[in-house]
Amino acid sequence: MTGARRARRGWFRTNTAALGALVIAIPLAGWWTTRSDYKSWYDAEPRDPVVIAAGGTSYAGATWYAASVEEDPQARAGRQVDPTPAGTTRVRVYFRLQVDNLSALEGLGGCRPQLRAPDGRVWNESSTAGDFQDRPTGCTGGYDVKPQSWRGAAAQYYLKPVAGKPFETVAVFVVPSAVASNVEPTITWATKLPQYLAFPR
Amino acid sequence: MSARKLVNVALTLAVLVAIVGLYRLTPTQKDIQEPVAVNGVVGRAVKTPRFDLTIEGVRVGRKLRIPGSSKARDTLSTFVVVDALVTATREPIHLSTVRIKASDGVIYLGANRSGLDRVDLTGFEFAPDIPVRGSFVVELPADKLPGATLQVMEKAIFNDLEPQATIPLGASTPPVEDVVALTRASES
Repeated sequence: MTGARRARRGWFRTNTAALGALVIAIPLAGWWTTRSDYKSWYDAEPRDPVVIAAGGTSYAGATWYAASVEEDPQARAGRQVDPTPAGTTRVRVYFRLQVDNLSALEGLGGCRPQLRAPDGRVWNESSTAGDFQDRPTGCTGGYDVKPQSWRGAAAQYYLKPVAGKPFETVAVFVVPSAVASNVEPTITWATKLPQYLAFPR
Repeated sequence: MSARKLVNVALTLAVLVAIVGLYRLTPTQKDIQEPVAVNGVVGRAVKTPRFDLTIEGVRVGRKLRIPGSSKARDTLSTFVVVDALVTATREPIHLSTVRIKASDGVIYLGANRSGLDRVDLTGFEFAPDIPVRGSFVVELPADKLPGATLQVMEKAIFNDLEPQATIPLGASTPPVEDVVALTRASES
């Protein structure tokens, strides 16, 4: 018995370095895999707001200004539209931004405007909103080379953006009337998650 | 055999039994990949974390009339039309997986007729707290309906442990109509 005990003590002494490495490596591996799982979960949703200041905020190569939000907007001239479903309200948002270099517009494609309630619920743009869109949609502005007379009063908004000059885009939503006055516009890019642009009202 | 050997044999057996027992308790691949059933009944809202679903009625017909399509559609079995009210709770979603599991275990997927996804609930984007009334359509023989269960889920793929609204459709078959007419899904 005495001889065996002495041999075991010897084994621990020979392997001290390896055992010490295990003590460090096992918690480290656990921390690493947990961290990467947590990160991929965290990065999948818009969670970190980039709040737009009143005087403009620079983001993604553009300067973003406060958005204007309008509840129950007027339809475009000459359009008769059905009322929204009971208990809902239409909300129209004009986004205002400017690029100092036209190549920055390429980085703004694929943006997704949404409305977000304080409790985190979100609404997408309405799919039947053409009668209320009097600006280009999306984030890259208009595409006309010169004003088109058939666009009427809105023709200037559809001109191609000019470097250093603000332009506007539109997004139209239908949300429950209970939240219409406290939802905030946001813009999300799938490539920039978990960050998103938040426009305080 | 000495007492010490007997104790060793007993301990070995105990460890073997413990190993087999623990293996039986561990979750299987099925346990960690199957959707999680959220059970309900016809006529009452089933509340899953991301959507509420109320089944308002079941209609069965030999032909199906789809709005915006002139001819009623034929089938080799019958059309089961499940009228429902759906409300998303957090963000815009689609309900991509709709199926009926018969009492014999056979699963029938939602119908995939041309033009159907433009008017039924599977093609609709639900927005939080705006209820939408519409229908799901599944084709299956009417005599398989007693004891069948409707299963509705948000995602079609990567749906491990996702909540699945699971609603028994009752023990009897509704009368089989000649033609059942769909109404376009809309915010009620």
